[in-house]
Amino acid sequence: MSDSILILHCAEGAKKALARMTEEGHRLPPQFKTFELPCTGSVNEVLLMENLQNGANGVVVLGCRKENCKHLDGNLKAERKVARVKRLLSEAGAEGKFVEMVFTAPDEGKRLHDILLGFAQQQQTEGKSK
Amino acid sequence: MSDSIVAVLCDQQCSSRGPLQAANLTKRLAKSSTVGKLIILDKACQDPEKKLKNVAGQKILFGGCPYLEESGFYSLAAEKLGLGPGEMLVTDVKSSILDLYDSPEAIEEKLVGRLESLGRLLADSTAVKDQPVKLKRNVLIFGSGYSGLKAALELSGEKLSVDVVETEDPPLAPGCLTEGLGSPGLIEELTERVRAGEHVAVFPHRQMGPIRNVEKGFTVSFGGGEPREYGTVIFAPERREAPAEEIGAWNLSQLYKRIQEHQPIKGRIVFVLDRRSEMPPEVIQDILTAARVIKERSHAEVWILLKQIRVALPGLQELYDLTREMGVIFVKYQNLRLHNEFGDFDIAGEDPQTGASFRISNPDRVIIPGAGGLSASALKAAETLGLRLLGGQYTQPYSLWRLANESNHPGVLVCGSARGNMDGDGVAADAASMVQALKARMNREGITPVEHIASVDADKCAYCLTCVRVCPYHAMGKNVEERVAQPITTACQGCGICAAECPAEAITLRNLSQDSVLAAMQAL
Repeated sequence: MSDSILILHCAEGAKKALARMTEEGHRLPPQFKTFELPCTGSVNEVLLMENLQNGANGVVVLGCRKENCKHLDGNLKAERKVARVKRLLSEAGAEGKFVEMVFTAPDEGKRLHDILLGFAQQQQTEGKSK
Repeated sequence: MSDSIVAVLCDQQCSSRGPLQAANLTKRLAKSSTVGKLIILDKACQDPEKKLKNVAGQKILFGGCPYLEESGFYSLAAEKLGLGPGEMLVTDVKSSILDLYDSPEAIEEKLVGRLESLGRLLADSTAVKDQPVKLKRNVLIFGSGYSGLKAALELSGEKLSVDVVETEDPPLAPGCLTEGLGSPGLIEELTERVRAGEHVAVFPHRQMGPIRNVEKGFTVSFGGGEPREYGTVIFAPERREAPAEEIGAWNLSQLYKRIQEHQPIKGRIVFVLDRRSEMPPEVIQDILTAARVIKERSHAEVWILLKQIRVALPGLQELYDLTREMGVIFVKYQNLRLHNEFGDFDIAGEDPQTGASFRISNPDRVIIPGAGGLSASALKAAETLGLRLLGGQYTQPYSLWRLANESNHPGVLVCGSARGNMDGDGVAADAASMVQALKARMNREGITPVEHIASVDADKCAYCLTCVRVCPYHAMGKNVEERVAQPITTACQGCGICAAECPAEAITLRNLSQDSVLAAMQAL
């Protein structure tokens, strides 16, 4: 788990987007780990912080497009929590990019790949947690 | 350990996508306490029937490559071994698809971790097992318009008891329901059948009490009486046009009302179509019929200004030709301007084909179709049912058109013109497809709750009711006597939003508690 980037994705659109990305042949570097949740709305601050504490370099919460959440607004709830964790981290003086909310549609394999790689890139340039 | 899991793994010699190195894995898994017996299948996707003969056990964990699922191995295994949904877990390299590109050692390490964490989850899931809940075979329908009555009559033939709620008081009185001009008499016919039938009861809306989610569906009381239980609710409200903004302009409802009441419509009548959005052919048909009726009854001068006409309905072309012959003037326009100065009203625009400009001075009446939406009483009912509304138009943000009849609230189905403009056949097809959805919900075997259902720890619950507020399905009830939140299992969809929002951490998802999630993440 250490030095990894954890992708928390929902079981609906985001899962399909990841599968599409692999199908299209876009590979992610091995430091990316994925974990499936029923909905990104089930992410909370504790879960995000625990993962960072346990040694994950970054956490990407991957949800459906904003208006397409199966559970109405689970992805928007997750967005708010991610924003809150970001604020807490910056208030605590932790510089860098640790958590990010990404909205994706099931057919956006290439775009998702670019975003995730961009996240990893920023991680490397802006320093790591711990 | 009697509850031990039998792991069946494919050694994937056939595939270059992530070889598992079965021999090494056997050694490591032998130390794992949750896995009792390990069977390695060589090329499991080939000739699976023969391979499955060697496999027997109470709970089985299968592991393999994506081809196993494609070849139907898992479903075949479940069938051959008589395994229910909770008794078989599948972990394969694609459940974390990125594993495919890891080194063999990394895959092996992950698989051991995942087996252990899944073993814990499986142990959790065996503790709680649900019996299917049989719903009450009663149906409540909101709205006694064409779609509502059509659905009621279709369902009364299915040995379901059907009640209808109507805002018009008294309900089913002649003339209390308006209909389009395209196919008159449809509602009259249905109303007659309901009056004659025995299985459909119609209640006025003012007698209705609040509607509540309960374990076996919904309860509603009428006129303060005993609550009646329903297994499902059909929402078939009236679609009403917003009044046209321009002063003096009518919208289509106002026009139809005047035509139906045989009020005189004289002078120069101008229809301005496609001003806000493109007109569906059903509406065009109604408008052409209205224009024909006006021409028949009076010597009015009728102009129809439009951007384009689509003759996608049977009979529309003939109607169009007929109205042209009767002297209705059709004009294609662009850059339309409406002037209203010092009591003089002008409509000016250009013809996109010839480029010539035109001007209609002082028309006696302008008719501009307004944006369609739900009526005020329908909005109220949608609020009661917990349906989300966007812009007062659809009962689910953007998606009601795509998700046939299912609303965002389990057990609430949506039908008819609330889903958009439809003609008579469209509504009938809509009602039929909804009856299918309803039958699936109310089958005699009952419905089984979803896997990750929410459960509340009564000792931790502070009764702050955050969960009641955030649940998108209104699936969290209140136990007022014990002051504790209580999930309604048949409505819960297992999204986990309540568990994430609960400040007291009193809510856990069955088979997916926060601890097990963290443990499983650690095992990655």
